[in-house]
Amino acid sequence: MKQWGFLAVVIMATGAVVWGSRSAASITSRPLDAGDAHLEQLDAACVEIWLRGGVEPVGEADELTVLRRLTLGLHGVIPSLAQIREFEADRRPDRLRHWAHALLEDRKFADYFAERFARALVDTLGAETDLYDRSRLVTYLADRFDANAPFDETARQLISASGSPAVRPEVNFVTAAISEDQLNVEMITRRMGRAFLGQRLDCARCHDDPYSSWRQDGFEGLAGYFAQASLEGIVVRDDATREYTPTPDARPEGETASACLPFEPQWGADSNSDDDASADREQLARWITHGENRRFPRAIVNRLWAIVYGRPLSSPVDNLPDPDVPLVLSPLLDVLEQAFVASGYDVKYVLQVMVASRPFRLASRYDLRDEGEIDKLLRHFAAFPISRLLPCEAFASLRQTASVNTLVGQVDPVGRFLEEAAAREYGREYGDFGCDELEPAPVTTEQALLQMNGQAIRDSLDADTVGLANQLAYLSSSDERCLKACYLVCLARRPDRTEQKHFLPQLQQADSATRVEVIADTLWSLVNSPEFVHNR
Amino acid sequence: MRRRPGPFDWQQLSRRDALRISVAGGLSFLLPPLGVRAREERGTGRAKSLILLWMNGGQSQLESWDPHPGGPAGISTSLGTISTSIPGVEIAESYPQMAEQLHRVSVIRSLVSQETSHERGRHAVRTGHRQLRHVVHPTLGAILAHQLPTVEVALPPYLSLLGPPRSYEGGHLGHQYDAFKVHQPGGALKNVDAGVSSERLARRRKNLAVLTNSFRRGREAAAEVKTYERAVDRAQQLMDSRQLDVFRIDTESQATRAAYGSHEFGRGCLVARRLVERGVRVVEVSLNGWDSHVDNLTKQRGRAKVLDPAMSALIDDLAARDLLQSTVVLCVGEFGRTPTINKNEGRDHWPHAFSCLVGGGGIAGGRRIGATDPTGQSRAPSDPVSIPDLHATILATLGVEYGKRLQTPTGRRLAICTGSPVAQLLAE
Repeated sequence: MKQWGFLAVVIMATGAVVWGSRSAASITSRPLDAGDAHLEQLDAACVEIWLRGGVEPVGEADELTVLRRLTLGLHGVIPSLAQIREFEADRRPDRLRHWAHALLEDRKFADYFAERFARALVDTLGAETDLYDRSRLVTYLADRFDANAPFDETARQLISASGSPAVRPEVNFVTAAISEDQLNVEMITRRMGRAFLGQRLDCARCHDDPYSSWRQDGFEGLAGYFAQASLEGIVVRDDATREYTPTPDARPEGETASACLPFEPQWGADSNSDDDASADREQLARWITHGENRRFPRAIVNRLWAIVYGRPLSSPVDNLPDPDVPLVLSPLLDVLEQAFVASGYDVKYVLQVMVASRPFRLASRYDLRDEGEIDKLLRHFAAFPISRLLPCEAFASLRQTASVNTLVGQVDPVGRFLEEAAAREYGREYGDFGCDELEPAPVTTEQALLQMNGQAIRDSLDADTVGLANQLAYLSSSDERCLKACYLVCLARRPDRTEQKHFLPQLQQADSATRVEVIADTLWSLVNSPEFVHNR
Repeated sequence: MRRRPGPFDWQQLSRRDALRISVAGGLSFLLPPLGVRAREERGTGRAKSLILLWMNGGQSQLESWDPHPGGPAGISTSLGTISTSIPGVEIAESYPQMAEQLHRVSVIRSLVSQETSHERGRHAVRTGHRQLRHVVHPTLGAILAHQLPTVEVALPPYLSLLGPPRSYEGGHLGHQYDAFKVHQPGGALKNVDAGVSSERLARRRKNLAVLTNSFRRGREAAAEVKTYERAVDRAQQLMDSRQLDVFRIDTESQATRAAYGSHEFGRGCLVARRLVERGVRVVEVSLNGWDSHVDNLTKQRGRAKVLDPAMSALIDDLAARDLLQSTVVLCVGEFGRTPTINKNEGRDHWPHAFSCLVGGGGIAGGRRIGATDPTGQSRAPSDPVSIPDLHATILATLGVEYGKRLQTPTGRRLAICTGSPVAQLLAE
């Protein structure tokens, strides 16, 4: 296989040119109407859930807090001081709705969501082959998000991807599962199930899943589609005669399984052909994204919700109950599912509905002490859930605190390479959980140490001549303004009275020699506060 | 501000507390005497420790501790074998230094698990329980940290060197019992130096307390806030520790460092020795690269070049410092490898009968437990030792009531361990 490595690299390098000429279908994105029908249905569903559960929603959060949620949810970074100033100067009614649309039209949205979806599709780890290039898959996804391509089409391209991963970047979804020169059929079947069906099929690999309706032969039928795919030189090709061979711990040796849809096989039919559809990955892709297969849109909207709210509607994000099972959250999930399908799988539209809805505007403070009551409040979406920033969000936000302007990313290749390396190192030290990033995770001592003393914070807040502390020391016209700027840069809010009483004397008592240090220490304290490291 | 006590707060117990605990336990007479040097390092306490050398991926028993010389082709290793310091016991020739140290530990050749996948296998061997859907069992290290709190040690009680970043060792005991991860052992611990004067550090901490109070308002009972505050507290305690030099091996002699090997696993083993010397309860050191589905012989032989000097130096060093009698050393992976060679000249996963080394801390050395079928026909070994039995042996040796039930957060009461100690391994 190694002889193909060099050739693969050459083709990878030239493939970008070929790919660049491909066009993607897209849905025109526009700001959400104030009276959008799905938004009204979603808000009505929330009220229904609150009434049924007997919970009173908390009050609304202030607009700057919601702006912070928006930039974190859609770009993965806190707002810059420049954005905050611009937002405060915006006099349009319902400016948050307009800002949500503008953020979605920014390429940063596409890049951020591509990375988040890539984690679900291929994790963050490498593969044991030269024929896998994760960055090309991420770029492909980003292009699709940027063009607002219908997501069902994106899913079909990924599931049925074949050919060279250099020419067709979506093939990297397949080559990511190559292990020891062979496609790991169980791995790609599991990933497909989690990402596109919202189902963990792990148990069904070896036995019928006692906790869901998935049977072992259902898993094996799905795996049968991917078993047809294999590497031929540097391309992925399918051979319909190949069958899935379960591992010896799952079935007696010698048994095989052919491609087979687990239920509603008519969903896999090809509407453009009168012939019976052959059992290939295109059939599987049609079946998964069929308009009546409710698992697909529910899996996607649950993940979209998780990205912008910090936690999924239904947890875990990739293992939803059967669509007909009534749940507390069913009214919300049903509306979002309908909105997604009716809009033609328009990701930007459904995200706008989510962030304009009432739960996104609620505060994250409540006068409750009983953990059971708090849990009930959050289960009924009657308060915004606090969630800890992911390592990629924490790193990007730390970087943002180094500047009053909105960071746009490195343009030159060397700078970009170094920045990506720094982000990777931060993620490695922090403990990047990749495809499991939405699972509840502990705050570790190592993470706290990294946040307090790591290279990223040193780079961002060092009191050198070009650092933010220095800029604020010399550009602020008063101590009060300096302190406010520190707070806005780091927390997107102004200090309250208690905080002013604590921090202002430090600035007032500082002499010219120590002023920068005092400001740097203020900034350090702000970025290490629980308020900075949480989406709230 | 008064510091809030936390379950991981290893600085909370005073010398008097420690004395009270040991007297109340009434067990101090059972603890082995410490040598002068060890006593200097560890104080007057007699705490026992565990060093787990984790062979991640699954070490081949045939190319290490159970080689079956002269067996059928395709089953027996094609490596040569060598005699060891245990009479009648031969091991693969890739372990010449361990051959000399083998009498200080025992060889189990009949370890039995039921799990063939890496994830489930790791869970089974590290926790002593099969993986369940609704309960996450704590690892052996987390149980020891929970059951035997360390005293007078300003270091985490449980560390993982070179281990996987994505792991939650605490299980249902809580994340405060997760292992502290060190990715580059041997150098100064990363990110513990604030890089500012003590005056500025004090100012930063005062500021942080004010901001924490602000955020807590209206969120007093939010679990996320509490866990973050606890992590910051633990981080600050570690920054204040006067024992951080334990992570740096540059104070060790050149000869000592060379003996462990000039690779990160060797450095990890040397740091592990330094940590238990200071009273740390559990240290895990991981060695990757054992998953030899392809070209088994080359991979196993390559890993042996790393493991052999490091483990033999560790055992020798512990013995020389009178620490071996208070430190259990366990070398094991998630399973062994198939007796037959596959089409890629590799060996696949084999949990049905594999090997480990265990000794020290009061466990008998120089013994061989169990045997596997030299023809590969029979899966079942003689004198099988289950994973729970191995755990029970170690827990009993370290003074933990292994059959005790602990309550999980959901109210279930689960036994720490369901096995029984292996009588042959209990020192006489």
